[in-house]
Order: sequence, then C-alpha cells, then structure tokens
Amino acid sequence: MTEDKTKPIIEAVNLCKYFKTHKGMLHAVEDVSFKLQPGKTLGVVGESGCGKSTLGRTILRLQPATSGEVLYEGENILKFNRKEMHNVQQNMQMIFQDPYSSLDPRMSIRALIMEPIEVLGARKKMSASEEKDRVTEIMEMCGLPKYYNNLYPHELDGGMRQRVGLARAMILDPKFIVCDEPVSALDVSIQAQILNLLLDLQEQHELSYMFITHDLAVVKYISDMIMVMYMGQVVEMAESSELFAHPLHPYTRALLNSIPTIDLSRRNRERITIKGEVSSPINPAPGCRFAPRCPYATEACKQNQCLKEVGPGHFAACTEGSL
Amino acid sequence: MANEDRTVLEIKDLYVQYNTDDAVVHAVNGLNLTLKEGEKLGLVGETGAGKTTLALSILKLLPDKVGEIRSGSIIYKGDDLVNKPESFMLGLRGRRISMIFQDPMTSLNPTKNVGDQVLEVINLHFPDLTAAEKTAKVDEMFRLVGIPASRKGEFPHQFSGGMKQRIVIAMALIAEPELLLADEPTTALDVTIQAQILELMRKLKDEFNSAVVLITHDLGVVAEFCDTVSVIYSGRVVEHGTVEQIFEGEDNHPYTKGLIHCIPSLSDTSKRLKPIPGRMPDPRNLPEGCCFADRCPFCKEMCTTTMPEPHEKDGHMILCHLYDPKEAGND
Repeated sequence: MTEDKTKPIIEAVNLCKYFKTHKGMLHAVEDVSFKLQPGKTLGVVGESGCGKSTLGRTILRLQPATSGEVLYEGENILKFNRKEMHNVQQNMQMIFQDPYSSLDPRMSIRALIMEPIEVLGARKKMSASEEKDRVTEIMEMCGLPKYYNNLYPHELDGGMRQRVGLARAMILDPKFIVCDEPVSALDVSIQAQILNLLLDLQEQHELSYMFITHDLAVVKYISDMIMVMYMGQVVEMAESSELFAHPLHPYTRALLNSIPTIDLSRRNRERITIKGEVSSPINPAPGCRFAPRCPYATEACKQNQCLKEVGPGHFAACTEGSL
Repeated sequence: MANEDRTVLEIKDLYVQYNTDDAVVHAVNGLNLTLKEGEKLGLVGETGAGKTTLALSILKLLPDKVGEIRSGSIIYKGDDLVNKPESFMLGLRGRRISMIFQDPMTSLNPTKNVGDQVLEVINLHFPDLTAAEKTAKVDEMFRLVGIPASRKGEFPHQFSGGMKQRIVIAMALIAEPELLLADEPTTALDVTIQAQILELMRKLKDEFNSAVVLITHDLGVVAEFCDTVSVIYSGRVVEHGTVEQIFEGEDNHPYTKGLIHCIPSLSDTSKRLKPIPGRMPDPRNLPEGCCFADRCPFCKEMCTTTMPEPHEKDGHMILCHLYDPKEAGND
C-alpha cells in the first residue's frame, strides 16, 4: 500500500477467525491484513463461503477474533472493555444484505431509525424534539419521504427498506460502515439508486466503507481498493483500476473472465472456466487453497504462500500464468 | 424439423391476472412473443415484470383459482394451450416443454436421494424401458452434466448449489424437450459456477437443439447466452430484437436504455450511474397509456393517455411513441 501521511481509520493485522465444528477447525478468515484510509472504500470480493462476511463481522467485533488485531484510529479494539467498545461502536456501523430480515417487522420506520440511539445510550443527551429533528434529517438524507415515519417495514419495497437500514447506520454519525452485500437483493434500477446514495453520503460525511460483495462490476464502481478473497485467504489486493487492468492471481483472472457483461465483443472470448468447486475450509491443508482448481498448480503450491508486493500497491499471493 | 415455419411457440396478446381477495393483479398485459426452433431467447425484466407468470402460463401451472389466463393464445407447435385440458398438458410438461426453476435449493426433494429423483422422471417419461436401461440412462444424465454417477445415492443437502442446479438441469433435459424454460437458473449461484452452468446449457442446447427461453434480470447473462432478447415491463414486451440490436443498436426503448445505464460497467470508468427514477407501476392499478411514462425522461403528453403501438424495423420491435413515424417529424 502506498505510504499515506493520513492515519488509517481501520487497520487489520494478521486477523484470523476460526470456528469450531464437530469435524474440526473451520478456517473462515486466515491471516488478513489491510489498511483503510478515511473517506475511502475497500471492496472485498469473493464467492459465497470465502469468509468475506465473517471478516466484516470480526472487524466490528460482532464476533470475537481468534487472533490478530483490529486497529481503529491506531487502537486495538479487540482489547477494549465494554465501555470503551460502546464509545467506539458509534463510529462503526453495518448495513446488511437482506433488507427483509434485518428490520424488526413490528417496529415503525421511525422507531427503527431511533433504535441505535437508544441502544447506545446517546439518547440521554437529546431532547424529544431534537430526536425528532434528527430522525427527520436522517430520513431526508437517505431519501426516505417524511410520511414513512409511521409505516412498517412490510409496507416498503426492497430499495426503501435498504434505505432504512442505511438510515439506522447513519443516525449515529459513524465514520466507518461495513456494507455486507447491500445491493445484492435489489433490482438493477434500484441498485443504482442505492449505490449513488452511498457515494453521496461518503462525499458529504467523509465515510469509509468496507464494501462486501460478490458482484465485481459493483465493486469496481464503488471501491478505491479491492481485496480478492478465496477460502479465507486474501489472494490479491490492489487499487481498483489496477486490479481490473492487471489481474495477476489465477483466481482473480478466472473470476474477472467469468463475469457476464453486455459487451458483445466479449461474447466469443476464450473462456477460462475453472473446474470444480470450493473445497472444504475445515482443517485446510497448508499452501495455496486455490491449488486444487488451479490450472497452473504444481508441487510448490503446497508450501505456504503469502502476499507479495508485485507492483506499487499491488499485492498478490501468486502470479503464475499471468502475462 | 419437418415443420415448415419452424416456429415452436407463439404467444398472442396474452392477458394473465391473479384474483386475490383485495384486488385483481394484472401480471401479464397483452404480451406477444415468437420463438423459433433452436432459438435462445432472453426474457429480461425486473422483479414483478411478469416473467415468471409468463413461464407458468405456458405450462399452465398458475396457482389454482387465483391465477387466470384472461385472454390471448399460447400456440405451441400448432396447438393452442390455453384451451387444452389438463390431460394434454401432462403429456407436454417435462416431455416436450421443460422448466428449470430459480432456486436449486428448493426444487429437489430433500428426503430422496438424487439418483431416485432422476429415475422418477425417467419412469414417468420412459415407462417402457427395462430397469437396466433406466439405470444406464440415469448414469448417462449424471455424466452429461458433469457429476460422477457414483454420487447418485447421495441426498440433495450433500451437494453444493451449483451441483444441485446441474441435477435439476439433468432432470429437465432427460426427455430431450423441444422447449426449455429456464427461470433465473444461475441467479442463486456464484459467478464462476454461473459460467460453468451457462457453458453446460450451451453445450446441451447444441446437443438437443431445444429452443430455450432464459428468464433473467441480468442483462450480462443475456448478452452472453442468447440470440434474441425481449425486454418486459409491466407484463408487456416493450422491446424485442437480436442481442446486437438491443445492446449495440442506436435505437432502444427508453426503459432498455435506462437498464443498460444502471449497470456498472467494467470498462467505462465514469463516476456515476444513472438510475431510473421511481419504480414499476402497481400491477393492481395500472396507468392508462404507457406503463413506463412516469419514469421516462422522454415522456410526452400522449404517453400518459394512449398506449403506444409496436414499431417494427428488421425484426426489431419497440413499443414507444418516440418511434412513431408520424411523431418523429414533429420533434
């Protein structure tokens, strides 16, 4: 990563998250390190089960990390006590994938948007009228019409519900938001509205996003940096334009090649279809986890591989077969 | 092949509605469609556009009592399916017209091993085969979709989403149907698995020469897989043409244009998307005139009052007042 003078807002250092299962240890996140600067977006891409959501949840300490550090403005939040955590949580929020199941169906939109303030105790500092103003302000900011106040989630469509989810995150005036597939459940025309809203809010409030998605076109559109994950490991990380212009890791290249686009000139491209499917992340063998599906795999791939800086700000675990 | 005009399916002015307790939901409103032998048609539209309703209407699988084909005709190889009895449909479903459903997780029976489920389909369509021939056919279908036949004793939960979808595809193709309706077959899958499934469908299509209707909301998948595209909005086809006419042509329906602008491009680096404002009209209460009028940047007065007529040029149909020959001169 380039030497920035600004301090990163979020930094992960050798972060690991394992789950105990009856078959053994499930390595969901393995040795992930990155830095995220204020006002920037880190895109995390990978297929289902690659650990991207677990990474997001571990960074917010919604679940305990197995080892490693998460630094918020230079401080390791994994060591924080309850009270310290409370304070820092206001600055770190999350938006979830499914706007249908992430909102309590029995709460009105107003109550839903208010809830984070109540939970985090900031309510004491606010009078009733201030509260009301704040909700109105946030609703306007997120493009929710005023009369939605007293409606319930089932009366809203997916796009509007996702705006409510965003309003719930924004009301605490956070600095960092983990967006876990926020547009995957939406139609393209609605998806574009939400993406633009996220970008507007980022500009106005200098927000930093960690944007988790499996959609590569979306991630390219919204991210400054992109991290590609495969079975818990980061296989490649680079600036957005660099990654799409010069993908190096065999998995990244196969992934980019698989995206269907409306560009008809790509129709007859040579297709790199990777064989097989993701193997089990329970007690994985050492070495490259992509090796069983990789066309370039050799004996050497059974050694442990780490990210190497292969160009300025461009990290890859492997560059086999790239031009 | 003996059929002279080679048209497999022709849908004329189809109206389908759901009669619910509170209201009548107009799902399909005067839809027209033609499909030739071996053609791969993409049916694109957003949630609620009527794509799945259309597929269910073709198979006459609309929910009992609620779903109703109001008028129009669905002509499949010369037979109008709308008036055919259930007994006729039974001979058609799975045998000559097959469907792949969106969610591979729920379209298989969790209590039965996958080999038996495939065998069930064979028993239905080929009751005259001997037991050994049936087993051989099961093995062959597994091989065809790239799953080791040794796994046929396993249950659906032991397979990944992509493999389940392969099994569903195997079941749909057993009888070598003339028409395959694939309703969002790859939506629930990851891109690399999606690429595998599309490759498989391409290969199988070449083998059986079935006509395919691919229902999807993903324009990228359509551009990759299909020959022709119908864009559907509020239960009507608003644009129909070849993939070249739709994605590379100058003239498009404003809705199609809007959809294309909504997709973040991999090559273009422009910073902002141009979303289509608003949303699709409520199917319980459709507007007069063009259904897209209130979201359309080119909306004129007549758009809100009169339904546009289809305008066709070299097989490229656009349902929009913008392309009215007499209107064009006035602008």
